[in-house]
Amino acid sequence: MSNTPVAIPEPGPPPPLRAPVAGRTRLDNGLLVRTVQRNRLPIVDALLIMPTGASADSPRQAGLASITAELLDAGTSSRSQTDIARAIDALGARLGNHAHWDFCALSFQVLADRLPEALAIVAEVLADATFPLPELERGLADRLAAIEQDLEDPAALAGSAIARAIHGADHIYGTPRYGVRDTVERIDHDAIVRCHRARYRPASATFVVVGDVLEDAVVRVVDGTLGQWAAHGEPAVEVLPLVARQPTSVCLVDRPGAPQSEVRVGTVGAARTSSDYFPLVVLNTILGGSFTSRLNTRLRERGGYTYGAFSAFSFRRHAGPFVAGAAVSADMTARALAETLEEIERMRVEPVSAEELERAKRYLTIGMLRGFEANGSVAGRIADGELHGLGDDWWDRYADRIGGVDAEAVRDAAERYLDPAMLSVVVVGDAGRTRDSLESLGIGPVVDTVVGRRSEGGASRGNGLMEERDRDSI
Amino acid sequence: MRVAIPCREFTLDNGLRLIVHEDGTAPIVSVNVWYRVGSRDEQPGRTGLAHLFEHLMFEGSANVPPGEFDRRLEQAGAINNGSTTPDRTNYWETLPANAVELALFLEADRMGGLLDTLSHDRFDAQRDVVMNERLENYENRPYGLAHERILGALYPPGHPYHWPVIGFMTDIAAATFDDAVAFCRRFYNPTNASIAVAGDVDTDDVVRLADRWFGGIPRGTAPDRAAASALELADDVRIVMPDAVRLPRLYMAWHSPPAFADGDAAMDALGSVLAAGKASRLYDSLVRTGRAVDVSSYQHGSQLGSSFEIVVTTRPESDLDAIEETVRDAIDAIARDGITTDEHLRVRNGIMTAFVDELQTVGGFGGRADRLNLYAMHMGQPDSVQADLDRYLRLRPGHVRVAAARFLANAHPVSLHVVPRANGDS
Repeated sequence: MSNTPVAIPEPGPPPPLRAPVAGRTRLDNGLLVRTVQRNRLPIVDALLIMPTGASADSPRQAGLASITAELLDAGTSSRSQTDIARAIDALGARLGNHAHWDFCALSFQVLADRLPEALAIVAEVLADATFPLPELERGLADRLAAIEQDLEDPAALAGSAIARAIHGADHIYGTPRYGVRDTVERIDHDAIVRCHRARYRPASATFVVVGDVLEDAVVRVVDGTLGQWAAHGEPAVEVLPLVARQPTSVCLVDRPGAPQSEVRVGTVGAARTSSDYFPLVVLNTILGGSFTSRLNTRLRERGGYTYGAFSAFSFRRHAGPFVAGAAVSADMTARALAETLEEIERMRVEPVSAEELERAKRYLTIGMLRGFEANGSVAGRIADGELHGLGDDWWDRYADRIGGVDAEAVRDAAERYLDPAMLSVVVVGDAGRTRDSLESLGIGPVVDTVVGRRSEGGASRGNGLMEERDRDSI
Repeated sequence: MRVAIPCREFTLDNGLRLIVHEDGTAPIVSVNVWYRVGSRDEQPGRTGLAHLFEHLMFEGSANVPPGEFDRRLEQAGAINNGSTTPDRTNYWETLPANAVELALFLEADRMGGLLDTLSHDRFDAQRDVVMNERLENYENRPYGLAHERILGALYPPGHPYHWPVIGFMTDIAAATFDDAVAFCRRFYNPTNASIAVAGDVDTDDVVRLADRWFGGIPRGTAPDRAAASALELADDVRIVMPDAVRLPRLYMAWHSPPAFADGDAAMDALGSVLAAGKASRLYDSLVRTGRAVDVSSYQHGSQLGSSFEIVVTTRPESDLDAIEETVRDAIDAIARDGITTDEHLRVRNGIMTAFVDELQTVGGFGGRADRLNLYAMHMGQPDSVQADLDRYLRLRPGHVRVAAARFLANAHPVSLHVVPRANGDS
């Protein structure tokens, strides 16, 4: 390098975005098929979503949607679980079945020439899942064991405690999607069969196929397989209570001897279709949704007392949580909490700088290109659009809508959503080491909290609240 | 099946290897740099230094003020990251096609000018960050210290794989600014690096830009690296580790052939037959029977020798000795009778799908740019994806049987039993 300073090169104008155009066909049974043809590689990614997910679980049976999804491939009237696994594996296919808050999903990936065979198996599993008792009992026992294990995981404890503090026990969002011990113990064969019938229905479902296919051929094959899928009984109805925000208190979950504390601050956020969506996305990117965000810069890069700090809005069909947090050195617990609250408050009282605003907007609008590279990611975006009725021009309009967010819109959204009197706080750490300093912050009563014995439990990590910024893969 | 990552290869005058893969399918580019340095190049007492140094690479350089590295990239709509393994350290940026020069500049500036601006404050902060990383991901996490115990038992003290990449806490705490400076001078130079640029680029442009920004960096020398010969354990090693867990977990680990060496692909296939998916042997004998919650098995490839590992998380009431017996029986059965033609077909077809899938993205860990550097380091030629796939397509059931017999059934493992901590343990 020369000794005279060299200017960092400025990138030219970003490439124009053309979101992939997806074909649209509705089959006789109501199933919507969306297809994107991409022929670079001989592979297909497919995603079927049914728009009723874990949020339709009764809080008494939390975990039902996710158990049902997990057991979908446990057997049909003509095949055992092992038969299904062998058939899928023999095609070199990979099958995934999961319940999210807003939907149940079945996804698979397969080389293009094996798509018809994979579809036949998937259609059989969807329409004819029998949930055999031995697999079902094993699935429930495994779930209970995993819930038990999560009670030892500080990040999982923090995730379930903050969800409960924000949404309360009466709202399904206040309980982990995977359920807790007593809600899972209430799930039986009858409940699972009813859940399957009520939620796995072609008329409201969308099947997205992205990859090395011809649209006409795909529609024909899908019509001969998933097109024969019929619904029985009545569809599920999702009834969610409104949530009143809770006045600020500090829930302290004791982990004697813990060298770090998991700190979380949260409140009720917004729905995916909220008119505040774009200001909130920009707000979050600046606050804790990117590596250079205020929280990560202050707690990690300047403070050094965490591996990473984050914030995230979980935009669901209904208002999901906003959560900020970090795992911090035990002796920095109160300071990390105070700084997190300060950064949240700063979003409300002073406009973000022009430089931060521009950086966040460009990070979002240009960075959005990456999501159109892999087939599976394209399929996810199309499914998300159908799920929330976003319209086919969503991504074409995205840059303009993010671009229209100004500093006042960000400040205004922060003021309305991040009221300091209504922030729930959770600390999972050594109570003896942290209680006094937490009390001396004077932000609200410090309440000893036990997670998990009966009415609460653990969510696993990867609950959508974590922004991964891993600088280490070992 | 045919797969390829077509590319051209260049060597700059200062010895920097440059690999360019042109593909305009998406308007995205990945810039990916590998340095031939990892935790195996560390000295006992200073473990974790390679990874700590990786953190310092984001803290500014001659013409990039502190914090500006990440700010500039985010402003360009890019993401970036880095990682350290025992064998190598990598860094990448995934950007829109218009910003490729920015990434090349930033990589060049830190390759040649990191020490111009690195400050004690920044060093201290990142050392604290890494200590917190260790707390978060290892010490304050259930089962988090299991692998450290396995490495310690599998490799003798002084062996370059004996310690974990993150390093021991006392060593991280003891690392000094001068350690970092010496480490940089020794390992971070053009002759010890390889840069792959993949995506929507013009090869001539990339060569010109690389020459402009990297060309002036002094060549340095590629340091000699610690070597090690194949290891075998003389006897079974059994460790019981109480931890903050509710579910007992069994880890078994064996020495196995180095990444890309003979037997590596067979061990990979063996891992699939044993534990990939609900049709696998251990799923059948352990999970389906209600004795375990999950099971996994894989060949963990490294340059000086790999480890093959089986992990079983059990139900609270399960007896780990009995679980271990079942695992050994499954291995013995394959070592004796081999695998079925159906199992062989399932593994083969799954691998073909996985290979094609991994060609979908240019950037990130495991994207096409990263693979070009991986192959350049391990196989010499950057576009070795076909040769890599062929290793698997050539496999016959007999290869898996022989590998199971030689490396598992007739060898000694480290068995680590992680058990719930009784009251009073700490």
